[in-house]
Amino acid sequence: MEHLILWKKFLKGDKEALSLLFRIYFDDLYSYGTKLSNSSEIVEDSMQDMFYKLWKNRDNLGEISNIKYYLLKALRHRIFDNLNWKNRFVAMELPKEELFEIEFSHEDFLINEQLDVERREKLIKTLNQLSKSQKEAIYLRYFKNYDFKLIARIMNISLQSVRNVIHRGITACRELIK
Amino acid sequence: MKKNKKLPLAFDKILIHEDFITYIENSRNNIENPWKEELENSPELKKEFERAVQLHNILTSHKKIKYPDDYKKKQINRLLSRINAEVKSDRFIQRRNLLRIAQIAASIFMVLIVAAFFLIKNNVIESPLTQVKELKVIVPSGEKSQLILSDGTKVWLNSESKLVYPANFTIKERTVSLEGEAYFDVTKVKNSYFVVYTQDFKVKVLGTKFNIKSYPKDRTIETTVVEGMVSIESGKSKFNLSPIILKPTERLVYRKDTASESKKETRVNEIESDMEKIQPISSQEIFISHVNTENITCWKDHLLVFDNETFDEIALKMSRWYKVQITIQDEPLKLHRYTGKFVNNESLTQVLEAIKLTTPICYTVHQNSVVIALDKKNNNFY
Repeated sequence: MEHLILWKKFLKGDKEALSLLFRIYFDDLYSYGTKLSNSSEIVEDSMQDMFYKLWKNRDNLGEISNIKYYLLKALRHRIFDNLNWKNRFVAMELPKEELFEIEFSHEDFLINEQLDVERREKLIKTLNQLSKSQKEAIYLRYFKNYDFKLIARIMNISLQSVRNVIHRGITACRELIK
Repeated sequence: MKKNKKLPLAFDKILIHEDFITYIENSRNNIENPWKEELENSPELKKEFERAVQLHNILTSHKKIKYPDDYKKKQINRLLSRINAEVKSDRFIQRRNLLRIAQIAASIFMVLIVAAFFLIKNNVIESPLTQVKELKVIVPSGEKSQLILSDGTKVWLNSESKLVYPANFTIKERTVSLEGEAYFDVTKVKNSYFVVYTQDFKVKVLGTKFNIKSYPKDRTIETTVVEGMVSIESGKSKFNLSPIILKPTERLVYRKDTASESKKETRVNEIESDMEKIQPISSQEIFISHVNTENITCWKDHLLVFDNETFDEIALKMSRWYKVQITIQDEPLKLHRYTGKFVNNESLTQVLEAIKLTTPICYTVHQNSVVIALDKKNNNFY
């Protein structure tokens, strides 16, 4: 709740509040960003651009109920923007999809006590074989602990689509459990 | 405690069950499993439930990433130095807001004068007659209005809406008719129904708070209940509908287009039969769901809210709100969804700018028409 007070202060032009918001949401934003792009340079720049734009446009912004969701969504948009900009001269025929795909790695599940090495291998392989939107929805649900409604808003799809996408992702993992 | 919906007998269905998410949250705080009894009674269900928990644990046990503090500090300083480099120049924004408030005050004042005129005229001339005199309020695009009826019922009218009501209600029934969107706070009168006629339905209540949205141009008709209960029945139209009772936080949506399509089909099939035959309404055309009533009724407090709505719906809402024509150039954008809440009487361009921050759109405003298009250079979604 106190974060919403920070947000209000930020809207009024408080730089201290801006720094605090940046610090509080850094881990969450940065880890999500590196899932969308494997270039840390792009993620760093996008975070900078996003906060800079929010600051410049703060007169047009209103109160929001969920800061984390708002920032995640803004970052997602900014990363897509910057990726396109950086790639505007490189190989135009490069399929766009591959640029934004989430990739699950061993690092993600290293401390997973639920799984032995073999099944961990299998889990990562299964997750990485999912479609782009399935991956993102699974990531937001199980890595970020968001409910379906927020995921729908972040991904710009309907609630029912979120359910379907996650359901398909889960069914793909059925062999991992006894 | 709220009673949970029944559990499906398959681990994958359990995992996407809305109450399962709540259960997982609660189980961390050692709150008792609400399905305990069900699970004990059915070993099959218990097995599936355990599989769901197992998969949930597999998918959620991963490491929480923390980045070093100096790295964060460095990034914050980078941001601050960029901001400090900018010279703040504009103070005129505050003045613009003042102007906006003055505009609103002026429009409210005008509505009051018109209402007062009607009331005075009505009291002076009509009071000797017992005959029911009808009054009409029309709210133009870009405006909102509020009035109090003779029984004390408060009505808020949204842009482009029309309300016809009697100057004085008769004792037995209080009827008004509505085109457009209105929020009613109905005064309870013993043994007297309050009835709102819309294009297709009538909505009957005793004493409640509810919202009706019934624009002729819209593809849907919606009724949302905030307090009390309402009954939705077939009105003057040719549709036949058995009464539907709506409870608080429930919204009924009636899709006009699917209805007329299926009606066309039946008409083709029954080409020989009477064209004016009463059409039963099938359940496919009516949807009842739980909603956040705040988001639906807050227009009356001058809050502009988009709750995961498509740009198609948003354009319609904004065109009424700001009295402009909005065209969406790209078909795929029409289905793109957006969520946002504007609470400070933002101007049209302020809202569009805010949308632009999270959505790849570009727009042009020319006099009273706005064209919104996908930002081609930043188009990642399609």
